[in-house]
Amino acid sequence: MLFLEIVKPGLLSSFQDLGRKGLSYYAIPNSGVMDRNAAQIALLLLDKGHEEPVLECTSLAPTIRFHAATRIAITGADFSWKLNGTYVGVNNVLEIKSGDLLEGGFAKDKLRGYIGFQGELILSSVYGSKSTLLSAAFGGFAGRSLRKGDKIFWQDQTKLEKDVKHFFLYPGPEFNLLEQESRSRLCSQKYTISTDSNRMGLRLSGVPLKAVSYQLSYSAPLLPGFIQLPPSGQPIIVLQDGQTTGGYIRIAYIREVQLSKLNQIPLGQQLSFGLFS
Amino acid sequence: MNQSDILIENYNNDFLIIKSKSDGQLQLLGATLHAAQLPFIEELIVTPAEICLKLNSLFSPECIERLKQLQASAFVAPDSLKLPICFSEHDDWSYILAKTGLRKQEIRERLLSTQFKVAMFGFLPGFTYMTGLEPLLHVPRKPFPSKYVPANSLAIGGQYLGVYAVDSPGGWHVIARVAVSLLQTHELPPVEFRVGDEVGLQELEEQEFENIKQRGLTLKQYNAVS
Repeated sequence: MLFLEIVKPGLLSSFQDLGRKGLSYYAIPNSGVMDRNAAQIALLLLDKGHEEPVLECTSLAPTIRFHAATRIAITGADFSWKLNGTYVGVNNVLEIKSGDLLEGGFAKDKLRGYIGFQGELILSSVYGSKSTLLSAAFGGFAGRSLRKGDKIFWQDQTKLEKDVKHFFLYPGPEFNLLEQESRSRLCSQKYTISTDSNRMGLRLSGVPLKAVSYQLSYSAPLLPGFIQLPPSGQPIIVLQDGQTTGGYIRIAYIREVQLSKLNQIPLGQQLSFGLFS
Repeated sequence: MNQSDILIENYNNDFLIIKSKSDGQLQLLGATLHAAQLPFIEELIVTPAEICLKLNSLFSPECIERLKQLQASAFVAPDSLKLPICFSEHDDWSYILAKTGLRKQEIRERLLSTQFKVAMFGFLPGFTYMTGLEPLLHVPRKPFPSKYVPANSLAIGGQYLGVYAVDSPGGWHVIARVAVSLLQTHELPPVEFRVGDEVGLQELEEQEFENIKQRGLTLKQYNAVS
């Protein structure tokens, strides 16, 4: 079980994301983080999508006992955060071990602080948002601010994040054209990032992959993150300046949120893939 | 849209691929989707064979029903335009000659007598895909794309004739230079061609080609004066 436990709740601690949009017509307020910039920094430090929920702390910090290893990022107001009794500052990523205790005091300079979590928090989503709306008692954790003894669970994503050069792939439109052996090879071998990569595409080099056919009879759509396989058998990952259509088979794709991490790996270094199917 | 003809594949709520059994339907549907500006669509790429919709967090599976209810936009009568070119001595010719077994003069004549049709825009800004290429001239794309193809190159690849509008890498075989620049950087759409337009190649003498190029005409301006 991956969870944390609220030892002391702080003054007003609730889970918030970017909130609900376009529902004022139905008298449903936006909700969401009060300081979007600080919340975004926490998510950015963890390479997470900007719409993920964070824990918003107000004025007095909560005390949290972690019952599983994870990684968190703390931003916003400085609550004199301590991990197992040692000051850790703000705007940092902290590696958490099972049993660790995170605690803080009153906000020193500002009012609100944020904790981002590596794992995918299991929270209640209402109208497409996990933000807690206290007045209507919905969203987030039980629709309310945290209390002593609350247990918040998450799904682990740390396995894939531990190795910073490992990326999850999803099968693309022409995945089935890859020969069976090449499907496993794609995920078992290390790829070297070729020096002729650029802003259009990341060229990988490894043992060539084999496909039933490499060329489509038509040019098909491409998005950043799509992985093309030309007849050379060496995959190309489409990047930010990448072409919008192409004629090579699209064997797989990586999610947009992983591109930041991918784009920071120096040329000539190695990376590996795992298949999410 | 005619639902029985349409196949929508959902890739993990990251993007949708729409395919159709009937020819030409996706182009019309694509125009409708572009005009509809649906909030759950972040990017839209339309090709004759597939439409790709990049989704954002506003997407839910019910949105697929909304897509199915869209009516394809009305057919717009195509223009007929001339594309002024000069065949080049490009290295890529040797591959084309070997693959087709035809002489260069023969290929030129076939190309000049073909009525092409604008099929789609894609690849990079201004790149125009045209269909109508005789099957005899369908040659595979290069196994290793060239690192540099100059802007305003006319090339063939698979079933298409295409124009590279900007300097770029490219996997197609270059056959000619184009005298007008297709890309109008500050305009939207950035190209004067529309999907469905009929295109004929017009071969120019070297001197005339340079004159037209010097004048910096757009495609429409060239067609108005020629």
